[in-house]
Amino acid sequence: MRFYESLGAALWAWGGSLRLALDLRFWSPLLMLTLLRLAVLLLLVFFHRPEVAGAGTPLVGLLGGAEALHYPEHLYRMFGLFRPLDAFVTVLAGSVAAGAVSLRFARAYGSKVAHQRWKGLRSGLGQLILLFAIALAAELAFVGLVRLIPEEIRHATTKFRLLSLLLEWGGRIAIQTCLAYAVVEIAVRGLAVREAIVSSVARTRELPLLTLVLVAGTSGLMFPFYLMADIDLGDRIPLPEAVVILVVVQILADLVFTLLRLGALTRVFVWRTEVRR
Amino acid sequence: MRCAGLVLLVLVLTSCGDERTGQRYRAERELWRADQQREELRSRGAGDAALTALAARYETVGRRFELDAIADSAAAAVQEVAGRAWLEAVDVHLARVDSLRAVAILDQMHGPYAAIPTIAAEVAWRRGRIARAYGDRPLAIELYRKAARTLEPDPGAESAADSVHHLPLEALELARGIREGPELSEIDSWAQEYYLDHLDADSLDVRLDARRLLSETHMERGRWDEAIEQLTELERELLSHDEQDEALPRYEPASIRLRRFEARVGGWLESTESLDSLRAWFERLRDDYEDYGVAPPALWVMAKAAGERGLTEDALRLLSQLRLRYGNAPILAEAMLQRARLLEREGRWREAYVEYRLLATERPLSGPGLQVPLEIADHHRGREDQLATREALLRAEEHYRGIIDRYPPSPHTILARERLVETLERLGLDDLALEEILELSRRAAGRPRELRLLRRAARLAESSLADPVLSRQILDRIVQRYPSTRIGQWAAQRLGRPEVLDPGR
Repeated sequence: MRFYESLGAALWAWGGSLRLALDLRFWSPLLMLTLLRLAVLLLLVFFHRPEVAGAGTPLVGLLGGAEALHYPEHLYRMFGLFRPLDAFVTVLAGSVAAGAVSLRFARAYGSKVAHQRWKGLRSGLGQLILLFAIALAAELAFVGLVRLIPEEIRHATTKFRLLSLLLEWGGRIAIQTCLAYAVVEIAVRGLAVREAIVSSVARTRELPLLTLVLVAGTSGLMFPFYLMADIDLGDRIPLPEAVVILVVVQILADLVFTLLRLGALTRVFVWRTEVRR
Repeated sequence: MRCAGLVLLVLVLTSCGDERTGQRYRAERELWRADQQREELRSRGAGDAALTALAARYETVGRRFELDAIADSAAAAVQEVAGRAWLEAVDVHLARVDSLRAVAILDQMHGPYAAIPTIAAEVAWRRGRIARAYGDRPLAIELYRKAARTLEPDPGAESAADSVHHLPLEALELARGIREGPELSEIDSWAQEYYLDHLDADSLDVRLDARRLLSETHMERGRWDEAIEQLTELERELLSHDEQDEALPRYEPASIRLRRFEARVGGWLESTESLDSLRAWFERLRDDYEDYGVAPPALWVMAKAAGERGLTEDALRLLSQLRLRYGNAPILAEAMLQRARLLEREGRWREAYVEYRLLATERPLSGPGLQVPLEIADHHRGREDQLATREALLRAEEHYRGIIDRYPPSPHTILARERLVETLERLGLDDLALEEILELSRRAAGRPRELRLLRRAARLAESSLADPVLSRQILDRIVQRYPSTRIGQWAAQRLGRPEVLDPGR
């Protein structure tokens, strides 16, 4: 597929997801995940409340250091505090939600296999969690590799700093692109993690541009939020509480983009595996 | 579900009764918001009413979160934030020249904050500074000693720990020449002991500061050789550190060498050595630190010392050398004034006059440059030539008014106006002097200087002008603007209105 064909196919895939997204049933697994993420955020924001301080204080201290326990530094570091816990929640609950959403989309797109799989999803939960854990490990490993470049070089100028963050983000997008169809492979076709990854990589090789557009067109838009965990917000945002609002915006934006991405990837998957035949 | 229930149970079990974290956090939030208000007021220039409200806000935070007893570290953290709020209130009161309220707050803080070293040290330090400002040197020394004993130094910390180690030296400076209170030798021994103890500190900055301050202690007491020994060691440490590529200390070896040279000059002044021995030191300094700008001040110090030892010709030669070699050095204006004074002292008035004129022309806005017209008037007054003195003062008035008109308002024009006031007072033009003092007070609105200028204006109106109406107007202005300050109370008493006093504020 050439670039314009890929772009056309991506618009077609997103269009299908958007139409189905009018039905609230498609949102429910991700909405539950969002509620869970908001609960985690609430715990981090109100860690000092007597009801949660005993657990919240060591948790915030562990994630952000002693400085993060003090106002306003605590709020300015909220992106950094939230990210590791959010990754944990995404692996445990996000994986399940993603599997459920993919399956629903596949059924709506007329996948026969998906109709037979609904009950079998439960048995694939472990595979989904494992897949997300592998994806997270791969992303962290890539970020770790980038951070092997000495800090004096990475932080030499603002441009260099931005470039190194873009490199990290680009690596994450590349990994997500390779694993783009793995969730659907597990949820819809019931494959094990290893086969799902191999199959996803093969499918991405088949449709590299389209898959990249679908992933980068949604996950890529989250880059500003990724950036915020790495810069000193104290100099840029005068009201510390505004950072919490930004994290909420991040969670909500992620909800919408995840739904669109999963819907679009599932549509492409069903089109390539079932309809075309 | 079971898992969620377990998490909830763990949260509840681990959290019971931990209220201090929340208290501390809320206190920090309130304090931060008050700090933001302070920044805002600072940027737009606040009046007394706004500052009073801000101080009250800080006091509310302090009062709200202050604990009666400190049982554990969590409670101590709350108390520390409350203490910070009170200290900010003190600073705001001092900024609005209300030292009475500041002292009242500091005195009530002694007990509740004794267990928090950072706060206890700051309380003692601030109280000591106020005592010093009011001339109560024994009390200031005692409080400085208390602050230094309470808190270990930690250069770079955002608290009194950053510079608490300067206090022994300050106490020593204060102890000089007091009749009552601790013996100078006792303070001297204590200061030396304090710095010697810190020479082995873990922190490099503490060690370097201790050595530097120990050398200053020796210089303060005229122990020049000991001072040189410490400064030599310090310079060596700095140079060796510079070569290792670690975090650089905050001292420049060049500035330490300059201080070492000053110590050498101090010793030379008390000896009968020739100037050549000093020259050799100077040349080494100049060669070692050619690009560091320390040669001009060193030359100036040497010239001043030569002048003090009566080696006028040598001093004049050194000052000429300074002008020739370092024509752009910031110290040059001081050097030119010194040269003119030396020439005048030697009875070479024509040459001195030329030097004075040159200074006034080349550096018109510098402190020494602005001093020139009054120096010339002083020369004529010294010769008891009243006509020439008056003419010189009239020329001085014209000179200062010219500068005030010609240049935009700046610290230089304020200095020119101050010199103008002095000139007008000497000319006996007290009404015009009063106008200028009131103008200066308007320009210093909201700062402690305004209050001092208003007091000066009131005194001038009362004593020299014998204008009770004007005097009352000025006193009334002081009372209205600064009712709870000492000067405000003095003004109220002068007005015969002691009822405006409100010592509780």
